[in-house]
Amino acid sequence: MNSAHFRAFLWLRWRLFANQVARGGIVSKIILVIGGVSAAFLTVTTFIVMFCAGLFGIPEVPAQHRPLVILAVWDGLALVFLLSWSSGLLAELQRTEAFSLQKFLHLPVSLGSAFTLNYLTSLVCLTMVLIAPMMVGFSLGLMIGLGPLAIVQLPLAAAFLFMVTALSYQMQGWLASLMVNKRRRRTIIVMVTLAFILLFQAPNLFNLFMPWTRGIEREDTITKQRKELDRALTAKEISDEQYRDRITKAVEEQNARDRQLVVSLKDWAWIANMALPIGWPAWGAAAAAEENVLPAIFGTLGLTLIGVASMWRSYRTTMRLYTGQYTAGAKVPAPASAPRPTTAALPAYFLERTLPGLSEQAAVIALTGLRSLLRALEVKMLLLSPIIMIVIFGGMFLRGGMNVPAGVVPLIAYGAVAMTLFTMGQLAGNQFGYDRSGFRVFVLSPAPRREILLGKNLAFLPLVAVLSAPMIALVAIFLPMRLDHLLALPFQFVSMFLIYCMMANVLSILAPMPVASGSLKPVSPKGLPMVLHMLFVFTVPTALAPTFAPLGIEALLEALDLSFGLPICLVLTVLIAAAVVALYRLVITAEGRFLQAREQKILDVVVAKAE
Amino acid sequence: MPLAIETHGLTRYFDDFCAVDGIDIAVERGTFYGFLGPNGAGKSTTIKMLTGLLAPTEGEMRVLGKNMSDQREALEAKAKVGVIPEDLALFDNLTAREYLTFIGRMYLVPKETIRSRIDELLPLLGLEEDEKKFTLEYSHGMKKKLALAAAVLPNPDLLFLDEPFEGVDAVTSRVIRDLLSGYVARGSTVFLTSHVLEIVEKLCTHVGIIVKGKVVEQAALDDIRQGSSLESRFLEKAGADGEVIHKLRWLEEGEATP
Repeated sequence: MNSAHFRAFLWLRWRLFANQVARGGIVSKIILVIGGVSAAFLTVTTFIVMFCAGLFGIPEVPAQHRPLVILAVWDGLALVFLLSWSSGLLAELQRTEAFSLQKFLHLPVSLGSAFTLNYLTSLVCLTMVLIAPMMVGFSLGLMIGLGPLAIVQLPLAAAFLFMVTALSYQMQGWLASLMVNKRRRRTIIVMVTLAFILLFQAPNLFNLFMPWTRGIEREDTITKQRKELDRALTAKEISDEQYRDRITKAVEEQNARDRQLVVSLKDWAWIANMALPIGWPAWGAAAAAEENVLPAIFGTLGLTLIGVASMWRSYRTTMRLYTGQYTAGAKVPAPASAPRPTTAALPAYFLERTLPGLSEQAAVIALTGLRSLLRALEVKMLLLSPIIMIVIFGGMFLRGGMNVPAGVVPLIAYGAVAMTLFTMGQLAGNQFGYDRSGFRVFVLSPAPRREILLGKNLAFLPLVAVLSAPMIALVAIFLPMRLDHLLALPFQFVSMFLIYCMMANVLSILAPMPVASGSLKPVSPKGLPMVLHMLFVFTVPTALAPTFAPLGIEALLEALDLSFGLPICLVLTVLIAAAVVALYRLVITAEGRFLQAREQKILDVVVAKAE
Repeated sequence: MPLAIETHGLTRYFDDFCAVDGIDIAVERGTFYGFLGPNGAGKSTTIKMLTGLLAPTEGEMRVLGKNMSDQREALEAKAKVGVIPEDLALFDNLTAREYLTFIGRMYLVPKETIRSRIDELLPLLGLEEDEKKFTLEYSHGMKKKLALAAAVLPNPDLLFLDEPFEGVDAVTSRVIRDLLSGYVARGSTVFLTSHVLEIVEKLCTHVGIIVKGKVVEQAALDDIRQGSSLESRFLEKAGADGEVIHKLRWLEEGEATP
C-alpha cells in the first residue's frame, strides 16, 4: 500500500459521492451544501464547546466530584458516537454492494492493501468528522485546564475509535461471509435491521416498561406523610413543634436514602466502565483526573489490542470470502435425474389463480406483485414497523394509561390503518420504482394501463390488511368498541385504502424514483419528486379525513338526542365506502391513461442504475 | 409484401445529442432483419422507440401496420410483439417459471398453454435446473435466455431482439439460432441487433447498417455483400475500412512504465 493508492481510493469515494449529488439536481445540491455547511459549523462549534468545557467547566467542579463528571462526559461522548456509528453502519448494510472489494482486486493492489485502504477510507464519514473533534477538544481543554497528565486521553480516544471501527469492520466482514448466499443475505439484513431498531427503541421501551416509578413513589411517600401529618396537626393530635420535627425527619430520611442511591449508582458506574471496553475511555480519563494514568495506559493498550484482533479476524474473513472459500463446497455427486412431472400432474400455481371480478391481467399483476413484495427485502423491512408499533402501543395499552371515551375508540382503530398506510408510503407512492427494469414488461405489454394500476393496488391490499390487523386486534381487545362500530371497520378500511391508492397512483406516475435493488433508499433522488413525496405524506391525512365524518356526525346526533338508537356511523360508513368504490373505478381509468402517457418517462427514471 | 416495421424520419435526441437522426426503415414481414452498427450508433435507441420503451423526438413509425404514436394502436401492436430489451426486463424476486407465467398471462395466453410452453422452453434453453432460483441469482447469460423465453412464449408475429446472443453459451446459441430460423420460416419477422457478424451472416435475410444515428445501408444480405464478406462491407460502411489506425508506440515497442 502507498499514499498514492490511498489518495486514489479517497478520490474514488469522493467522486462517486459528487457524481451522485450532481445527478440529483439543483435541489439535492442545495440540500447538500446546507448539510455540509451545517456539519462544518457543528464540528467547529462542538469542538469549541467541548474544549471550553474541558478548559473552564471541569476545573470549576469540586475536586471530589470531578472524576465522576469526567466519567459522565466521556460516557456520553462514547454513547453518542456508538449510536451515530451504528446508524451509519445500518445504512451501509442496506446498500447492494456494501462490502465488495472485487472491483479493486484486479488492480495492482494486494488484498491486504485493498482491505486496509477500504478500512481507512471508510473512516472518512460524518460521524467521525463530528464526534472525533469533540473528543479531541475535550481532551485538549482538560490538558490545559487540569494539567498535562490529561494528554493520555488523546491516545485513549484514538484507541477507542480504532476498536469500534475495527469491530464493526469485523462484523461487516462476518455478515458479508454469511451473505454469500443471496437469499440468506436478505434475511440477515432484516434481522440486523430489527436488532438495530430494537436497540434504538430500547430507551423508549425501558421508559414504558420501567418508568421512573421509584421517583413517583418517593414523591407519593413524602406527600402521604405530609398529608397524614397535616391531618394530625388539624386534629390537634400533634403539636406544631412535633409536626416540624417529623417533617424534617421524613425529608432527612429521604435525602439519606437518595444519597445512598447516588453512592451506589456511582459505584455501579465505575464498575460498568471498568468492565466494558466502551467505558474504558471514561474510566481512564476519570482516573487521570485523580493523577492516576495507569487505567488510561492499560485502557489504550486493551482497546488497541481488541482493535488489532478484530482487524485480523476481519482480514482473514475477507481473505476467505474473496478467495472463494465460503462457496467452495465439497463436490456432491449429481442425483439421478427424476422423471419430470407431466403438465397435468403439476400443482395449480399461485400465479395462475384467477380473482373473481378481475381481468386476467389485473389478476396476474396483483398475484405477481404480492408474491414479489413478500419476497422483497424492502417489504420485509416494512413488516418491522408494525411489530415495533405493537411493542410500543401494546405497552401503552398494557400499562392502562389510556382512558378513552367509547365514541373515540374506533378512531384509534382507524389510526392503526392510517399508520399502516403511512408505513407503506415509500412502496405505494413509488410502485414502479421498485419494479426497476421489470417495469419494461408493463411498457411492452398489451395490457390496458388501468388493469396494471388495479393489479398493483390489489397487490398491496393483503399487506395493508395483515399489517393493520394486529394493531386493530390490540385496540379491540384492550379498548372494546360497540358492535356497530366494529362492523363499520371493514367498510372504513376499504374507503381509506382506495383513497390512499388513488393518491399513491398519481404520485407513482408523477414522481417515480429509482431504488437500488434490496433497498428502500432512492438512488440519486431529484428535488421535485422528493418534494412531491413529502407533500403526499402531508396531504394523505387530509384526503382520508372525510372518511372519519360518520363518527363525528353520529357523536353530534347523539349529543343532540337525534340518533334514535340507530347505527348512524355504520350506515354512513357503508355509504361512503360505496361512493369511494365508484369514484375509484372512475379515477383509475383516468389514471391508466395518465400512466400510458408517462410510461416512457417513468421507465427512464426507474431503470437508472445505482452506482 | 406488407411491412412489419416502417419508419419515416424517426429521430431521437438526448439533450443536444442526436442518437437517431431521421431514419427510414422498411422491414417486410417474414424477413430476418439484422440491424448493425458500431457501439453508440443508435441501434438500441431505435429498438426502444419501435417497442414503445422510448418516445421519439419526431418521426413516424408503424409496427405490424399499427401507428405506435397512437396509444390504442400501440397496445394492439404490442399484443403481437415479443421483445428482448437491451437491459432485459426481469423481476428480481420471481423464479423463471413464475416470470414466464406472469408474461404469458399478461399476453392472455391460456394457462394450460403457458404451462406446456414453459415445460418446453426451460429445458430447451438449459434453464430447467435453475427454474426455482430467483432471477436475481441468475448469471447474465441465464437472464438473457429467460428473456428470450419470455419474448417467444406468447408466440408473437414479430420479435425485437437486442443482442440476443451476448453472454449465451455456444450450445444455447445454436438452439436459439435454430429456433429463430424456424420462426422466420413460418412467416414471422425478427428484428435483431448483434455485434457478432458471423451470426448475422448466417441468419439474416436483410440487413440495415446504422452509423452515427443514420441508416447508411439497407438491403437484402446478398445485395449488401456483393460477393464480399459482411464484415468488410460493414467496416466500409461504418467508416473503419482503410482508416489509418493511430499507432501506440509505447505499447508496440514495450516502453517501460515507471
